[in-house]
Amino acid sequence: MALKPEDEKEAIEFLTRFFGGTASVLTQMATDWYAQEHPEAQANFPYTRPHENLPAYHNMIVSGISIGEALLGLGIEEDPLKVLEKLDSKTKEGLKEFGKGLRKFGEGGVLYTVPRLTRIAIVRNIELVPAEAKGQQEKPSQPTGGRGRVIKL
Amino acid sequence: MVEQKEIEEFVIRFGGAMKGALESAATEGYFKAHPEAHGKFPYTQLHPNLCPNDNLLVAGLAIPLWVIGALAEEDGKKKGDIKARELGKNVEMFGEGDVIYSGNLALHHSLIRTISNTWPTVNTFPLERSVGGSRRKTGGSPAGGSPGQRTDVGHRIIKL
Repeated sequence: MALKPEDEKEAIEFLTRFFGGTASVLTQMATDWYAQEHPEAQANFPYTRPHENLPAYHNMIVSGISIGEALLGLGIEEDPLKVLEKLDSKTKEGLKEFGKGLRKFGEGGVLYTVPRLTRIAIVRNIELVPAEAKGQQEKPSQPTGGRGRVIKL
Repeated sequence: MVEQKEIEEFVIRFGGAMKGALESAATEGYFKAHPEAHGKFPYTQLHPNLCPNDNLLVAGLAIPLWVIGALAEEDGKKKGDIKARELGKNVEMFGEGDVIYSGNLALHHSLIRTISNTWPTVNTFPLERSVGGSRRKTGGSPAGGSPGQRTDVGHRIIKL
């Protein structure tokens, strides 16, 4: 079943936004991976927090990257500095289309990362209730007992 | 020029994504505050490589709004009712924002688990949410993570 041109356009726009969000997921995973590979980096910027109940700086940076993408796309699309004036109309049209796509891609990233920051901030403000406080016995989930010390950074 | 309409559309989508974030914060907060819920539905997994079921529920809650909005818009188009069409479109966009957020949330949490389970010897990722790690087991360590994983970014284990 073939889609109507306007439905096809909407589908492409949705996919662009969704993959913008996915790109942010991958960026987030890359920063997390780096922290795991380099434990010494965990105490340093950007793996620190402005406040213990707020998300870490690296989460904010990932969010900032997607905001930057959206703004860059908007800048290319709008061309407020008239940089594209000298180009021929075909190239200009192509760049404007690219700018529009980039803006939507960045928008998708913003739609994932900014609400995620909110969620992290909310969850960090909820106190962790130890199982013992509720009269429950828990199995240890990590084999660190007796062999190491966990230090909250 | 970016039209006023496009700005409004972004705000509606953002509202939808925030709804998804608040839902996942609610399920996560409940998990953190109620240790007795650990290991019980929805804090279980269909498969060790998949995200917890509460994330799937949050993603699932986004879809009805999206579908209802699309159907209402179509209905409005057929009837020539501009108001119903606009309302349907707005509901669809709200749902779309929610789907973009929660779909990527489920994808993120599934990818972390899949990679960690596929290459357990490789230093991969901390579970994104510190309490997420205890979902596979019954325990709930504040540091999170399963035996195959290192602690989350907020902690450091010093070997004695």
